[in-house]
Amino acid sequence: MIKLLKETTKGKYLYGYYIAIVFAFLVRLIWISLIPLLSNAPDESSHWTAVEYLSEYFRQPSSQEIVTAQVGAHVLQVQMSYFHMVISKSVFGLFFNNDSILIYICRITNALLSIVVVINCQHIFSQLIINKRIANLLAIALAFHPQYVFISSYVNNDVFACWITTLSIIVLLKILPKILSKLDSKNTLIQQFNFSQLILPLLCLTLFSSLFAKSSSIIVYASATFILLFIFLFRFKQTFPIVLNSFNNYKIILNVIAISASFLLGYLLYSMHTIKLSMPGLSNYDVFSGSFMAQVIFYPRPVQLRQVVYGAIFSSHSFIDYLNTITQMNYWQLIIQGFWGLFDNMSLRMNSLWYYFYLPYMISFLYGYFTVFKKSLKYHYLTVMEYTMCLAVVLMGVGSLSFSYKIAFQPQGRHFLPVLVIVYYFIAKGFYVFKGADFTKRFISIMIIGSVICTTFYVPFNLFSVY
Amino acid sequence: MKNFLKLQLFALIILTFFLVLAIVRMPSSHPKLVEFYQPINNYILKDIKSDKSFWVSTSNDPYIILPKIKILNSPESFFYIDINYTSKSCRASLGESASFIQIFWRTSDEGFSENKSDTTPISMGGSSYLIPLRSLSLLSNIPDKTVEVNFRLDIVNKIRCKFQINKIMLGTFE
Repeated sequence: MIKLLKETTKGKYLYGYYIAIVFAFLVRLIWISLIPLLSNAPDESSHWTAVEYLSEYFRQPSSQEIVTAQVGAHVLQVQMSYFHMVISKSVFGLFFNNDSILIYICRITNALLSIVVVINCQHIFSQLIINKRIANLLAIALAFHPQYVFISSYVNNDVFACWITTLSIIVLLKILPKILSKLDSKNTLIQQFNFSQLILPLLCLTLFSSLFAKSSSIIVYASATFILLFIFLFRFKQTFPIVLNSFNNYKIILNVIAISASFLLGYLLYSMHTIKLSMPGLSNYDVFSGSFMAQVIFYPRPVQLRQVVYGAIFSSHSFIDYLNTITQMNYWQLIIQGFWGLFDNMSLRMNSLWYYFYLPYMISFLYGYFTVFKKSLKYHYLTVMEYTMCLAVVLMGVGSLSFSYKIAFQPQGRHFLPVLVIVYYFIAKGFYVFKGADFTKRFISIMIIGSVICTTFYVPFNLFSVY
Repeated sequence: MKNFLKLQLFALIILTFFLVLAIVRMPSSHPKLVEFYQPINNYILKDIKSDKSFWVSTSNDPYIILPKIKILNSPESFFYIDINYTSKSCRASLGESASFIQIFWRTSDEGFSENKSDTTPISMGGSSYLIPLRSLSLLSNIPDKTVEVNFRLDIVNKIRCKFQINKIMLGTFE
């Protein structure tokens, strides 16, 4: 009886989760219908030009077209981030001639991808958090994050970056236990060091996709590499023989070849693109500005590598300049406002009460974040994953700070959306460490109610009154 | 979830296929490039002075007038400038708008005007700029096949900006 009751309760929760996901999609449909076409969402017209061009010609533009026809800044970058919308535009373009309808269809495609991201996040939370109810609630809360609902509701390349980030975390959650149990000689249950037929292609393709997407999509893999390298070097005497010995296994060699092949394919495609462009200047920042990693693999020579790494991370500013910026309250105010939701492009600023509503969650994030460092970095995959996520948030912060200075000074909290899943995990962790599971559930439920009110009523009604 | 991941893997394969297709199908086109030789003190400079191996702007409207050059009567042209901005004064700081490079052109000895110019914002990370000369489409009204054009480069709109010019090139498509 108790077992049946538990199953029914579990079923109800899952049922509730699915209803919430459908509702989150409906909320996005409301936003899609309310956000004015092309002019108000940031860069939507430029993103749309890229989608339009790619769906019309199914190729990248030549240098002559770039110079003469105004193809827009975004089609100049070689990006995979548009192709899900290109496919839907091409298919529905057979039935509809009207551009407005096709823009709405691309917006809906992006919204659908954002729901896929939410489902991935629920899977990640259920792997990281033992309490499944908290995992489900957290995923629902994330689905209604105001800024995330906004970026899910217009044509852009951000949702794709979020998708690749969540897939990368899922892949890491699958492969880290294998790698770490192998490295930990104390572990008697040493697992096979080969990856499954599903995970290896996912690893290769997410790596490849991050070369042709926003830089933020590579951040999780970059952090994991740093952390694993640190573990490897810190216990070099212990780990080196294990790693060396692993290379006797042909399956591991095949894994390494597959991963290298994904980078090689990226390199070849960039080379082909640059040769075809045959234009000075375009082979540099304009083309690669989407992906920092692509710049690094394309310019492997030491001098250029140094320049590219310096340029991509630190711009031309000194450390003191950055320090001055991050010590200004104004900077953090803009970042926090941008992270939760500041829709000034649409002449709409959220009431400051909303930021006070999210304040406990920001405090909980900081608390959850710093509790990670209570545990020393050991071989357990969850600890390594938490350290990786901590580093990913820092790298995202550094990247965002650097990008703020690219042209005019524009700090954007939206930069942090690819690591939204990490931020929400630390929010839950903060509450959990502070007062336990019930307290966490209560606070996340309040967050869901607040976010639903904000995204379903507050912003749409205000948008409706603005336009 | 396994099936859902398989579905996402399938989607990634399809998207990768389209990306490869888009790059393979991309046409190539080669511009004719003309380089303006360095150093820039061979040209007419205004409010720009030399400081060791660098140049410094002495007003917020410094410019370089390049020698007259014959170009094809084609609006499909661009400027490529490889330049390092090395001082803080070139940058936009907190709350400031971006600095710009502006290129003016003229076909006779008349003054330079805004409608015959193109601009690009100065990016802090980048050191090379490709500036399409879209305003040159006005040249298509002139019946001659080749036209003698005079270019003026407003390298920055900031005073005390320190910079180093490595390359200036004009590209034209036939």
